[in-house]
Amino acid sequence: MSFFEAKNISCIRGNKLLFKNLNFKLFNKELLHIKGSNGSGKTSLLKILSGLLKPISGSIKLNKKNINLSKDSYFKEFEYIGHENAIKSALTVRENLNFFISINKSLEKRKLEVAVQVFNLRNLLDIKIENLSSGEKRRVSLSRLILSKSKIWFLDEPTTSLDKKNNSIFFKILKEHLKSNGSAIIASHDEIKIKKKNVNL
Amino acid sequence: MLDFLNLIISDIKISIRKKNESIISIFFFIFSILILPLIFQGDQNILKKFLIGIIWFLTLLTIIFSVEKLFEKDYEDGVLDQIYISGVPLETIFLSKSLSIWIITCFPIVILSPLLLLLFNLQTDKLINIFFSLLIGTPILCMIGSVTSALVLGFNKGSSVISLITLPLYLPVLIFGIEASNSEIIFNQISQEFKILIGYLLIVVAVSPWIGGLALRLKYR
Repeated sequence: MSFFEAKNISCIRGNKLLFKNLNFKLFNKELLHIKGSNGSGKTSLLKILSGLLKPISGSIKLNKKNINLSKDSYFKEFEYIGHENAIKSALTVRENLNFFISINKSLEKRKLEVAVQVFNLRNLLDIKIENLSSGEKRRVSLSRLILSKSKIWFLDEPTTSLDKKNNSIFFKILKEHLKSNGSAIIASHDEIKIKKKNVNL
Repeated sequence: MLDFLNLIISDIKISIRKKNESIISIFFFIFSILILPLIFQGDQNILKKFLIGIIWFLTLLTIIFSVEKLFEKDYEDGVLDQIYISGVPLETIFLSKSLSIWIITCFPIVILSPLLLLLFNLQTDKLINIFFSLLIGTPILCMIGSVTSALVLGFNKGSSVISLITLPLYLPVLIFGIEASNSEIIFNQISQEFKILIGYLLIVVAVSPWIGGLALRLKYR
């Protein structure tokens, strides 16, 4: 049985056809790498998969259930880290993490300590986001993955502006996630050195 | 309900820290009132005649300025997407945004207006009228402004044209707001103008969250 399935998805943005009749399946423990040049529609595809955009044709099913039938319950199934970091620049790191934990039921407060430790955020906790470097902002954004109990991850260029050390930290938690029955779809033009399926746009 | 409160608290915190448009617009409001005697060359009679109308007009301008980009920052940062994915209904997001902008911009105006008007020697019962009419009128202006802001979200071109569409909806508030401020309270009975204003408020409170939520949902299609 397929875990996650996209059938015949096509997308048009601003009168430009980005991709047509895209098909793929994703099972537990699998990683899917969406490859493509700039403007090929990687971000749009991830937004479609996460229900933030509607494709002009095709369907997306999770456990054979169309995702558009009940979006609220579908939203609980995955964690989405978009192209933007989705953090509030006037708030501190601690306030941001607490804010998202308070509104998102699939983020667990008890994992906050672990997230802070893994992404080395302890010294940044009381600093406002606007005073952080872009790599540090990305780390704050990625720390959501550790807080989350969702089994599917949708990640848009997750390693942008990360240094070598944090890059390997990210791939370490990704491997652990896949090992523990999780799955992930990553849009990136960088190479990924983990066993994976590819989708070329 | 808890989500709703969390959204409001974080918005207020951000506005205070960033000293953004909404805070600046209150200073614009205060400054504009204080320079009124200069414009009317010290003629108290003419000034008193137009004062309430001017207050309402300045309130409208202040609100339009401060709600213009209500959702834009969150939309560009991806925060709006993240809140939506968290399972918070778009109607709740809309309502929390418009309530927080009311608390940040309008509540100070409602409190400050009667105090500022003390400088112009207005009668006390008029000041009370102004306080209550602004208290009822400003949430209406705020919610209409928020709906407009949700509608133009993500449009680069033509957003100013779209915002003109909702302009007529502000007019009844101005007309009845000014009338209510000038009305007299007889034997503790509230005047017709106040009743109309309250009616309009109730309609807007009932309808605007759905329209605002719908306008935001258009971004996810």
